Amino acid sequence: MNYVAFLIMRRLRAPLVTLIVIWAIATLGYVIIPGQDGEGQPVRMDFLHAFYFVSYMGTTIGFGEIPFAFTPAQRLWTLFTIYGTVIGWFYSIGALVNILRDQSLMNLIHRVRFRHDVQDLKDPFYLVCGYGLTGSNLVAELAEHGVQTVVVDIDPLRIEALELDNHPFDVPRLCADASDPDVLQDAGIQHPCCKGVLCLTNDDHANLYVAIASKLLAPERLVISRVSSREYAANMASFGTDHIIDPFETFADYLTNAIVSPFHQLVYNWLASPIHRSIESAHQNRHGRWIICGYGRLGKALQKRFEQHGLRTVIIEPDPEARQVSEDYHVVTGWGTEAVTLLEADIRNSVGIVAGTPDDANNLSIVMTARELKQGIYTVARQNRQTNARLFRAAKVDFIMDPSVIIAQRIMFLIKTPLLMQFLDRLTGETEAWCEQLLRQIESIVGEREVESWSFTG
Amino acid sequence: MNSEKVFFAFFILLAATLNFGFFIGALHDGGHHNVYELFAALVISLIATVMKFGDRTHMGAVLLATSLVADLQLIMAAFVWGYANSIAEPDQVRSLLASVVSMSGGALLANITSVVLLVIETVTVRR
Repeated sequence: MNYVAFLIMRRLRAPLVTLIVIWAIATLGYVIIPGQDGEGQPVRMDFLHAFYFVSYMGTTIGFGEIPFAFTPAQRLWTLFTIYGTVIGWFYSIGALVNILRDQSLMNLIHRVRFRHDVQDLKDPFYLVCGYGLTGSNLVAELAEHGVQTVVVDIDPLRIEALELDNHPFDVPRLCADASDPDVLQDAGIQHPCCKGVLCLTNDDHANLYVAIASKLLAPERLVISRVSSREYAANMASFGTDHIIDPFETFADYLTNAIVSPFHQLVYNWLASPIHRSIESAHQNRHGRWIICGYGRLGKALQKRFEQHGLRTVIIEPDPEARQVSEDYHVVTGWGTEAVTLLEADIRNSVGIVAGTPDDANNLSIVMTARELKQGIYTVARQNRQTNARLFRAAKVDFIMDPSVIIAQRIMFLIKTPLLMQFLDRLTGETEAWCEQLLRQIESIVGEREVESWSFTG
Repeated sequence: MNSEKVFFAFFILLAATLNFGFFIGALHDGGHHNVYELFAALVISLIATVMKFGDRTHMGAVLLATSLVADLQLIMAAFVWGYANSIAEPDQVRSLLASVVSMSGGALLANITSVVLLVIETVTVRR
């Protein structure tokens, strides 16, 4: 990176040499050309006065003719030098300003400042690569719990967004490619206070790069990464990435749990989110036929789990061939946004519908249409954009799937209360009755208040 | 052939020779020291310094340093000359002139160092 400084110095050569040459010629001219003093005696300007005059002429300050009024010959020379020096001056100043505004110089300055900021950190911090929805949610939540973060993102707009987000303390930020090992080094991957690396970019390959670089540069460092495809998840697991989070798989687990073993899910819900649902909600029957709209990543993950638990499904997909839907499944071709398709999928005999397309308007439309056709149908919708959160709440969707929230929540869990995560993993070995009893016990103590959890280290 | 190096060699050698031309002569005798020569030596030395801006090599950095030393000495000499010429009392001029010349002598030493370094760099170039 240091080459930028040299490049800038090199670019300064031409303007500086121009300036020196023009100034020298102009000064020499005034020393050589004879002038006249007040009595008409010939007098020569010395270098001091000549340089003084050229300096204020060239910089367009202009104090007048000193020490005596100029002779015509001196004025002729002044005419030439005014244009010469002013042009030279403007050119040099212009070049200098250009260099200072140069993007590569700005980047260099930001980089150096960032490096110093990170080096000066005294508190434990997490390195967050990618400041998208997940990243910003997580940084805000960590800041709320007093945990310092360092952010790297490739998109200058997101770094600007971070500048505007009002966090209780300074978050060192850098606009750079996190998959560059030098950037990770500057971001403090080997800093003694660095607790872990969170790979949250929307590019699986970039996450893979960051994860592998962290494991090589600092093997003992905690690495948590999001992924959106199974190949990358397996790849990351192979070199010991500590936690790999796939939002679609996670949500599919969550939803399947809610249907098949509602009390297990409720324990998770109570411990994980501050606003919890009542125990009675677990008695709602969700066994039966489910309609899955959109056979993308979410659709596939759900279909796999529903099949394992013997739930019947109907898939609504506009392009079943491109999505490679298996012949064995019951498939209806269409969007699911119009009544015809939903009736064809026999919505009247279904208990639930999943609106899992990548378009929020379609998902909302599916939910609304489905409700009109069948009162009280259980609705699950995938929310793709944070800005639409208000609409999804207004639509009173039973289960909202927001990938960024799912990842942020899970990572908060892993950072804040690692033991709780272990407890929830062990929970799968317990029966539904055991979970119900646990819930009754918790309820008898906390009542309707929210359950907050945190961890201590001795 | 590296044209950048040729230009630099030209300017640094010219600075050294002009500097030498100004320096040579009796220390107190104004007739032996031409102010135009001092002016030219200063201008050329400044250009030579700027020519070394942004050189990443170790030799480049050392040459920048020696050339900056020469500039510093010559600028000081020019200031003293201006002071002696326009401000100082007539009886001070002799000693001030002596310090101008001795400062240009210091600059000459720096310039000679630059030339020596340049020669070393040139002979180590392998074809």
